[in-house]
Amino acid sequence: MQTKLPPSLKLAMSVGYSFLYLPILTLIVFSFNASRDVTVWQGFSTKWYGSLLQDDVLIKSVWISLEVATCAATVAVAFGTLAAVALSRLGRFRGRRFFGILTAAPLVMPEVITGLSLLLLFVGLEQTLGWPKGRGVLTITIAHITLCMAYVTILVRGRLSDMDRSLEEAALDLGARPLKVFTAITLPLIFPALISGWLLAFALSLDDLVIASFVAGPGSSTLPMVIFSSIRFGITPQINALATLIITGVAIAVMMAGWLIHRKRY
Amino acid sequence: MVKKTKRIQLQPWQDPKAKPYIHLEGVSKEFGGILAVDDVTLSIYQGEFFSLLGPSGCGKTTLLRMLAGFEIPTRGKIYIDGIDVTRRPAYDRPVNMMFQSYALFPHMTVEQNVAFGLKQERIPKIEIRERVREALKLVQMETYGTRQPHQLSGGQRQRVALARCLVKRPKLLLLDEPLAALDKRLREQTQFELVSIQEEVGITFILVTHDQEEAMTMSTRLGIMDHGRLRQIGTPNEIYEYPHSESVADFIGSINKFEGLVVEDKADHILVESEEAGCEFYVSHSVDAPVGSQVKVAIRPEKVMIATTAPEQKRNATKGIVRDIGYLGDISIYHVELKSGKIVLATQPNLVRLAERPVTWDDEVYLFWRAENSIVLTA
Repeated sequence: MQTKLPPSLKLAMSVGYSFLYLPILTLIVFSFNASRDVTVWQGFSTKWYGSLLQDDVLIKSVWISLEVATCAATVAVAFGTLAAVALSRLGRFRGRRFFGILTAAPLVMPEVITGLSLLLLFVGLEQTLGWPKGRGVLTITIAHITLCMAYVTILVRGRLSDMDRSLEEAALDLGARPLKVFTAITLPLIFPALISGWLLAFALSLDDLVIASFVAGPGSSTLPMVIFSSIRFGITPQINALATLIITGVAIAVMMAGWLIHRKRY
Repeated sequence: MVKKTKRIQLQPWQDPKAKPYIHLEGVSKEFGGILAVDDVTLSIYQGEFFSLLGPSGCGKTTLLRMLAGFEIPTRGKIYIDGIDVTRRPAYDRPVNMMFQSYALFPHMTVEQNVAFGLKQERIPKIEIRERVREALKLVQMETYGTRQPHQLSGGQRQRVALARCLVKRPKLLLLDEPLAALDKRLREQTQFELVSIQEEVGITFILVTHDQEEAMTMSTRLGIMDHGRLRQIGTPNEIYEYPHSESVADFIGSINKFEGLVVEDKADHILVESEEAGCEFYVSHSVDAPVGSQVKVAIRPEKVMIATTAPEQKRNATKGIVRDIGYLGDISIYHVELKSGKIVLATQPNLVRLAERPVTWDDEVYLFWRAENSIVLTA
């Protein structure tokens, strides 16, 4: 049944949505502007999308970002799932609560602090162990794993606690060993959470600027870093075009994640 | 599966030479300092349909989970077919459990669900297919093999869950409130089906339930649990007619109880004087209660007879005023107030139609009962 909203609520809703999406809409519209001046509309054009493709620095940064996001999301899903399973399936082991707080901490930590502390760690490690050599794609990926793992853990943990425990017990009862129970019963049932966790981690990694700025090295600038630094030399509609593409990508990822989370649960 | 055999009407628990098939020896389970199961010793024989009955939180499910291997007893030992399985993990026990929620794997078809347990035993594929087919046939679900669990009704899911357990040919099948999720009609029908399947496969069943009717109709014997302790074990008839204690008497059916004082204690009878009942009880069986001790005498409502004229007997008879009549169609429940203010329940079959009934509200009536029908509760 659909209910009719009173006009006052409709008004409040449109004001709210405009506030959220009008800036993005403006950005998208101006990415098709023929003028070099971002604030004046001079007719429709897709030339900024064309010039975008010729910008080697930008294209390279896109590839770096995608590489980092893919690796970080994959590893974060693996680690996050392990942490979630430990927290919700291994009983009340000593230090469980503390471990739970530790895994969730990166969610609330200011990114500046996370970034700075990771930088200090990497520098310290290089001086004492000689690894990782310098800063680059690897350090950014490790930093993103730290951040994304927290989100994945929370997502998977929620799914695990929603799941009927007796399903796993039934499998045990039918003769499956614990590892087999995990691969044959638990994993397929929490799979949607793993997918949405991956997509969320991917999106998070893709748009992170602060942490990446701290731990990046020469030649490993990610896309957000390149955009941010180019703004300092004045905004070109080329950035608008790029932003439009990113928004489209992130929107698709977020919608897929949302769809997977809210899909019919077993 | 196994060839159909008639249920043999022997009572192995009365045979001193019979070896118990499942034996629990002083089993206790503590959860954070609270005793969920308290020193339970119990023997169950092969082919029995044993029910654990008790209010929720009485420890019956914990006891079942210890048999399945999901909980390890804090103290005590569990033997199945003479082998100590106390510390064996759930996947290594010849025991299967049917869960209250049925716990069918939602991402597998009915066939895959039933085959899951056999796959773990690394049985050849051809044999698995054959045994799955047989098991589904036993529960009359052979045409539903390719369905997903969410496409089945509650009763069908229950059958699949049963087939999934039976296909493993366990030595012991545990059922945790297997009928709780079904509506009343289906539940009654399923009760009889479950019993006939049990007779057919000859596997020992242990059922946990809080529904006394279910336990009474299905089991060979039942155990009444309360606060983690096993209060009484017996056949449904024994438990109903001769409850040892007040808690058992209260839990099974409704019962009238009167405070009384033992005035005569002989080998074949005792005499209890009760002010509350306004009469003397002559109980025609011996009870371990010395003269002068305070006891409770109990009598089931259906054993109390109602008359409008005074009966010949002086003992085991009293009178009162009808305060309320509950009409249930087949029977009526009369609430009779005695002189002491005590309300006595008496049920009578409705042999005549309602309008022709001789007894009505505010009538003075005589209540009487037979000497062998009153129970003396000493605990």
